[in-house]
Amino acid sequence: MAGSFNHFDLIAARLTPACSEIAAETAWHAVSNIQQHIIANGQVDTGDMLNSVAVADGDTPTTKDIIIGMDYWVYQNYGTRYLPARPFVEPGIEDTRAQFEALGATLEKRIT
Amino acid sequence: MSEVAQAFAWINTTLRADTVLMAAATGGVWQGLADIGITPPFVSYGLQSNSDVLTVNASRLWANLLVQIKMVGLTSNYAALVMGADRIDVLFGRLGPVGLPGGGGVLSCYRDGALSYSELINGAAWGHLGGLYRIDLQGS
Repeated sequence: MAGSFNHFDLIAARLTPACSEIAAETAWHAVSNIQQHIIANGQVDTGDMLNSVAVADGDTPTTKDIIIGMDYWVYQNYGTRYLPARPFVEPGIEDTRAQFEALGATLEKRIT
Repeated sequence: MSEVAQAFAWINTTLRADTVLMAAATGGVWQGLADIGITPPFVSYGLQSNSDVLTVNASRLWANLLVQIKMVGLTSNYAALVMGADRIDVLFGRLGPVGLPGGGGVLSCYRDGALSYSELINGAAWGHLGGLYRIDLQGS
């Protein structure tokens, strides 16, 4: 007689923590990439904006928010009437795409 | 030819061909910054970020461009910014494919997100209203 047995409960229990780890690691890669664009764009004066790029917890365990503490980031990123746009947020996120895919490839290893 | 230059040329032509938008954007259409002394509101566009879409052996298929297209003007005349931003979204919100005059084409164009913020210039509040548009462009 064949018994009924699988590891789905165990896998399911490990899935959220593993995805949470990947989200956190991706977020910190994004912070680093954004900071590199800020430096490359020559947008460092006091360093306040550069150092205020950080990761915060999102609405769910598998979500992270990238925050920039200095509210003038929007003028630097999108430009103003007299200041050209020198984007660092979107390019930094684009640069993170490959790192996210690489981390995603480690999901199976994280849940076994 | 540079995909960015092709995209800018297409955006510029499309914007200027829209009479409703031009009626709202009396200051004209500008790539990046407008000249000092231009009377607002006006339209501004510029590259926000990009990444190429490649085959596995790095042959370029098309360029994936994120472009900001926005109305810029005094907040006291916000209605004109709204009217212009609405027209920008009609023009670029979801379309494609579109062939380009010099060859190549826009495979698709759609809004990736809205753009809205304000600034203070010489005591007057200015607003920026528009969107970030994702343009997949195959170069000539």
